[in-house]
Amino acid sequence: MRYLRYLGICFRMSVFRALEYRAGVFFQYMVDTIWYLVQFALLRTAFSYVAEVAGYNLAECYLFLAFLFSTDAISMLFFNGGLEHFTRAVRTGGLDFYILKPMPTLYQMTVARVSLAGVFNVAFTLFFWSYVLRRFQVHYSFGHWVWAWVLFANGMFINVVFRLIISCISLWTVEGGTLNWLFHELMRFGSKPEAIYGKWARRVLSSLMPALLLSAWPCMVLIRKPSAWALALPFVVSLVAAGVLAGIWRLGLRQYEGLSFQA
Amino acid sequence: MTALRRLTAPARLFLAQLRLSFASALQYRADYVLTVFSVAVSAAVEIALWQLVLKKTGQVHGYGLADLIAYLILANVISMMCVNWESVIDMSEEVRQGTVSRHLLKPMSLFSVATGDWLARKFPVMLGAVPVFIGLHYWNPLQFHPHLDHILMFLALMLISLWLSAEIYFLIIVSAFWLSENQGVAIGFNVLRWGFAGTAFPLAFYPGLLVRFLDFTPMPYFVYYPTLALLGRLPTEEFILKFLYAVFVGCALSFNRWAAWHAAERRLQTVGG
Repeated sequence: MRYLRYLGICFRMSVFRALEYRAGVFFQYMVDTIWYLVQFALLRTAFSYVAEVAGYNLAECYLFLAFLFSTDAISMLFFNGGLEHFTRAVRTGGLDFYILKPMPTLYQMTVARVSLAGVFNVAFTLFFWSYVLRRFQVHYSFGHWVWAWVLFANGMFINVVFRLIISCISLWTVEGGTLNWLFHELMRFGSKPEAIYGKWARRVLSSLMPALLLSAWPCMVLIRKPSAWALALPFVVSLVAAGVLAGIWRLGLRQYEGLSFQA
Repeated sequence: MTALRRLTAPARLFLAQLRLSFASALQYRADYVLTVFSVAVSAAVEIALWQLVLKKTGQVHGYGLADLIAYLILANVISMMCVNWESVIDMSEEVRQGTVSRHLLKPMSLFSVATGDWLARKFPVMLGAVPVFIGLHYWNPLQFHPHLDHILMFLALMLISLWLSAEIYFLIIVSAFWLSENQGVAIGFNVLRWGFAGTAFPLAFYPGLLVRFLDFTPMPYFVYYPTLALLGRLPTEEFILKFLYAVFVGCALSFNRWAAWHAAERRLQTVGG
């Protein structure tokens, strides 16, 4: 409960901040809308030449895009600002304040900068979902939907954990802007359905660099009949990733030299 | 002699700025590695998708798989050479915080400072990209056999691409005088550029109406036409037309940049950071 209360406080603070920089919120929302537009255009163009790509038809392609936009919207709303801020906090010593507070530091860092623009992204995503479901009249069993959303939630968890692992490297390197960039580059593999990749690429992208587990996997589970291993894999990855994060965070904290000259 | 020195002063100052920013850019070697990685990811994702499409259709708008691979690698390298992320964001931050005043004290325009800073950051990437590209071509020969006229057309269009980029990015920097937060403008423009400048795939793949619309904008001149020229897919007559139109667009942007800067100067309130 206190975690939710903390999240509420972060959201209230971010609303105050956003009201100060209203143009900033507008442009943040515009950037995401442009990103959605570009993703849509890139994938839709491929479907204008063939009816099916890697076993995905047009309706399934739209479903994939809906999952992709949802991943982005939730990430922008809750995590992105805080995680972008993480490496900066390490560099400036701002991390000290989070360590001192009586709440797990990584949780605080993750939700530290909830974004008001993210609310508009979620609204856009809901609109896109309703459009896709109405236009294509997709019918999947209740069980499929439950699995898809459970895997989606797990994908969000993997997203945060993986990003935190990469951000924690800044505890050694201090300068971490490049690490955020690295994360975004790796996640670009997840901007297309999993079936376009070869067997080995798919294995790597669903384990070592789990970009496919965020949007592509929930969509795949919804529209295919996945094996038991395909259903279990994301949970195995999230457990291992959480273990790695716990280890790397503990080790990293020993390296951290708080400067505390700038919050 | 003095007259000659006075004439060449802007060029010498610009070179000094380039040297300064180049030395600073060399500090961030990791950026170079990541830039090359980013090109590889971007090209790999699109190749993975389009090879499945081409397997069914054989070719799309005259591009077979080998042609498309050559196109995507070249387009991504060219895009990497003229995109601006760090410099535009750093300069905008300086405008917001008032530290831009240190550049205004220099005997050269802010446009020269910003362009010099951006180009200097690009030089290590440009120099580094060439051996990577040659190595790749040697390891796995690409569908790429440029003649001298193709290279000349490419160089002309590449200069245009850099010119248009410099003008637009400076306009984005100037927008910081009005907007409290203009980082979104820079990111938004770069995302648009990635989608509609021909980096992800040849613009001809888009529906005809969209291609005709994009032709009126500077977008295809950043990446698409320079890549077509180098691949020998741009006939000379079309090159001349595109080149003249791009010069016209460049002049219009230069005028806008000049007007925007003069308006921005009046809003400048700085305490020297």
